[in-house]
Formats: sequence, structure tokens, C-alpha cells
Amino acid sequence: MAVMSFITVSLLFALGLFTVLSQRNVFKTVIGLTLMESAVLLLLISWAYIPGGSAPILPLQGKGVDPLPHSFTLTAIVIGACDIALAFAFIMKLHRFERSVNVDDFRRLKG
Amino acid sequence: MIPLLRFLGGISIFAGVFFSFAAVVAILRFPDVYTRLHGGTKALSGGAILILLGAMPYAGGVAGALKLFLIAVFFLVSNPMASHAIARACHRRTLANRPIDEKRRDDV
Amino acid sequence: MSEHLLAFLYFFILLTAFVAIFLDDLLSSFISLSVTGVLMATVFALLRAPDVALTQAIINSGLVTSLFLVAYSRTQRTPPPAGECVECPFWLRWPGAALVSALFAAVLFRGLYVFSGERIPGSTSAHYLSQTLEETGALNVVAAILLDYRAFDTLGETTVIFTAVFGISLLLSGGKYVHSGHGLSFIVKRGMALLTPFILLYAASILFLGHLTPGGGFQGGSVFATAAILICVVYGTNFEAARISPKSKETFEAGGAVLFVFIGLLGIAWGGGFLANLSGPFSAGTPGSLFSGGNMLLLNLAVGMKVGAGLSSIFYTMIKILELEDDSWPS
Repeated sequence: MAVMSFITVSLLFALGLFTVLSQRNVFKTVIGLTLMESAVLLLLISWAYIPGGSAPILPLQGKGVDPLPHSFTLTAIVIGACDIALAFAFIMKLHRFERSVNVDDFRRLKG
Repeated sequence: MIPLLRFLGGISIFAGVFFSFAAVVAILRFPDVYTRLHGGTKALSGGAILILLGAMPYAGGVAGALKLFLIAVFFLVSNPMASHAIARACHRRTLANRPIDEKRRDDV
Repeated sequence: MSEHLLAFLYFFILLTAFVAIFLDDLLSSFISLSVTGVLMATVFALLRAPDVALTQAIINSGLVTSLFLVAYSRTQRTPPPAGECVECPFWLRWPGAALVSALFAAVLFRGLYVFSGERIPGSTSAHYLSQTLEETGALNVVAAILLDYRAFDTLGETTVIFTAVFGISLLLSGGKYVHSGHGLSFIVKRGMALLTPFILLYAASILFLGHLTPGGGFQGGSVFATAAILICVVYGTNFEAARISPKSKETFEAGGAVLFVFIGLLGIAWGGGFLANLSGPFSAGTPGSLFSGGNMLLLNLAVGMKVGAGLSSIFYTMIKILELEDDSWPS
């Protein structure tokens, strides 16, 4: 169970990293960032799970799962959404100046 | 009473799965926007609503079943609206009878 | 919980992520990414994290996709100059990237494998699970951690939201929009009018019952923002700006922050420290009733105001730019 989650997390993070490294479209870069963020969220939540545990809503039936990573994840999701919105604003602004969403066309950023 | 309801619920879930499968086949096989939309809406108005109604006897109590029923009613209201909006937008842009085979490529 | 179901969902998460990366059509790849988000929400619900599942379903697969649609339609109106990079073509680029990410995945899995044994929750978590009812009076442990034990973190997070809104407004400001769309057809407008009260009621129930059931300020505020976005799309931007003006959104957002800090200072005035709950002026109430859990109801309201107003004004700022004529775009 845990090993399965860890394999998925590793592959998902590697897919996101591969996207950021290889693709040249900035929208694809945003997709890669989203995938890496999802991998981290999945890692936290699957780490918090205890076999046979119940949701952390009182009164508990049996033992509960770990509630601390849940609150971290909640924070991370909202901040991630704000990050992505800011990235989209930057993309719109860049497209205004460069008429392109391809990283290779942003020549002026090179030194 | 409850076993009978659960049996009927199982039949309903099975019908919903069939509807969803038919929608997938329709989206893959139909040629243009309108027919694909016609097929695609079946996934929600046929599939999801039947599955929700079928899950009602398993929800454990009247309150849970009522919640599922309310979700089904929400789908019943919102899904025709959404597909109507899509169809109208396609009609406006005169995409309607053009087959979707030509591949649109973005700058990747 | 069935492990087979979990394996199935993991497989489809990886599959949709793969499709999202390698599709040429950006629109399809973002729809595929939103499917990944929905599957992740299902996995979270299976792993007994209902709060996180709710947030993931609303924000990551709803709001982010709508923001993408705005940015996409803005950047595709003028076709970009086509051309592969000459210095570094794709076939030269991807083996290196694949090698690096494969190595990274291997190292990451090797590092994580150490933790795959029996999992024993730490003493902090055990304390939260056993003492929440006495120390805060709330039933939802995650909400108690967010708004009582670690409320200062939540204050910092709302500051992050404010900074994002500020940055986006700064980047895209400067233009008064000239015209807005007339919205969608009559049928959709009437249907939306029928549904809006229920959406708002649902949002309010998520927001105000956050200390008893899964939900809270973040989720309720996001549903409020979703309602504002739907009104924006269905009735046109001008209608939305006339009903809920951008000024009043700013007021709501600032009001949320001020309310949060004011509750915190109230704790200091009572001699309990910043954001003190039961040691401050608040009482626990009857567990399970609406007015329980001390200041948690008010803090949920503050966070909800902040998140709802912030996300809806982000969307409004972006779609306002979309409806401008191309020449009058602010630079």
C-alpha cells in the first residue's frame, strides 16, 4: 500500500520534472509545475493514512488517521492555486510583448 | 424491503455504467460536434444520474439518500444548460458540420 | 479500503498526467490535467482526508481550469510565430530531460522506501486527536489545527493570497474595459438564476459548518468564488461588475484580513496571547452545535471572505483583459 503510493509519487514528480525540462511551451511548464505539486500533496496524504483508520472528524470510530499533514495539504493547495494564477498572469503579459508562448522566442530575457 | 431496493439499485448502477460506456464510444466514433455532444451528454444525464439513484439504498439512512437525490436533481438541471451553451457556441462559430478530424496543433 | 481500487486510481492518475504532457493540443491537455485533479480528489477521499478532497475538487480541478481557459484564449487570439528552436531541437532535448527525471525518480523512491514500514503517528498528532474536543470544542480536527493550534500559519497563508491578488492586479492593471460580452443565451441565464441561490446556500453551509463537518473557510470561499465566476461567464462581465463591484470585492478581502487580526488582538486583550481561543474571551459551547468551538466560526468567516473575494477578483482581472480590444491593451 505505502510502496504503491511511493512509486506513484516518484513517477508523478518525475513526469512533472521531465515536462519542465523538455517542453518549450510555457503552458506546458505550468502543467509540469501542477503535476509536481500534485505529487507532493499525494505524498503527504498517503503518508498520513493509517490502515484501518477513520477520517479525523470527532467522535472517532476506532483510531483516526494523522490529521496534521491534512492541514498542511489544505494550505498547500490554496497557495498552489494562487501561484498558478500568478503564472498565468505572467504568461499573458509575456505574450503581450513577445507574441509567443514559446520559451525559445523570449530572446530578450537572454543576457 | 431493503434487499429488494438494493437489488433494484444494483440494476440501476449497471444501467448507468452501460450509459457511460455508450457515451465513450459515441465521443470516439461520431463524426462532428453535434452528434458527439449528443453522445457525451448521455454520460451525465444517463450515466451519473442512474448511478446516483442506484447508490441511494446503499447510502445508509434517509439523509444520505436524500443528499444523493439532490445531487441527481442538480445534474438534471445543469447538464442540459451546459450542453445547450456548448452547442450554441459551436453554432455561432459555424463549427457545426465540420468534421473534427483535422488535427489542431499548438506550438509545443 | 480496497487496495485494488487505489491501484486502479493511481494508474489512471499517471495515465492522465502522461496524456496531459504529450498531447499537442493545449486545450485537451489541460482538460486531461483537470481529470487528474478529480482522480486525486477521489484518492484523497479514499485515504480518509475529506477536507483535502473537497478543496482539491473545487480549486485544483475547477478554478485552475477556468483560469487556464482565460489565459489560453488570451494567448491564442494572435497565432504565435511557428518555429522549432534551432539551437536545441526536441530530439536533442528530451533524452537529457528523461535521464535526469528518471534518476530523480529513482533517488526519490529510494529515499521514500525507508518510510514504508509500520507507520506510527507522532505524539503531536495523537495529542490533536485526543485533546481537540476539550481544548477547542470543535469536532473537525483538521479545522481545529488550522484555526486554533496553528492559526498563525493560516494568517500567513491569507497574506500569500493577498500578495497573489496584488501581483496579478499590478501586472494586468491600467486599462478600463470598454465592452463586455452579452453573456450566454436566455435558457442558460434562466437556469443559472434558478441554480445560483442553491450554490450560494451550499457555499454558506460549507463555510459555517467548517468546525463540525469537512469544509471550512477555504472551501466555502472557493465555492463563493466559483459562483461569481459562473455569473461572470453566463451574464457577461459588466453585469457581474455592476452587481458585485470590484471595489466591494476589495472591501470584502480587506475586511476578512482585518477581522482575522482583530480576533487575534482580542485574545491579547484578554491576556491569552495572539489568536487565543478558549483561554481568551471565547467559550467552547455545546460540542456539535453551530455556536461551538470558540472563535472558529468567526475565523472561518474571515478566511472565507478573504479566499472568496481574492479568487473571484483574480478571475475578474484576467477576464477583463480578455474582453479588451487588442490595441487598447495596457502595456
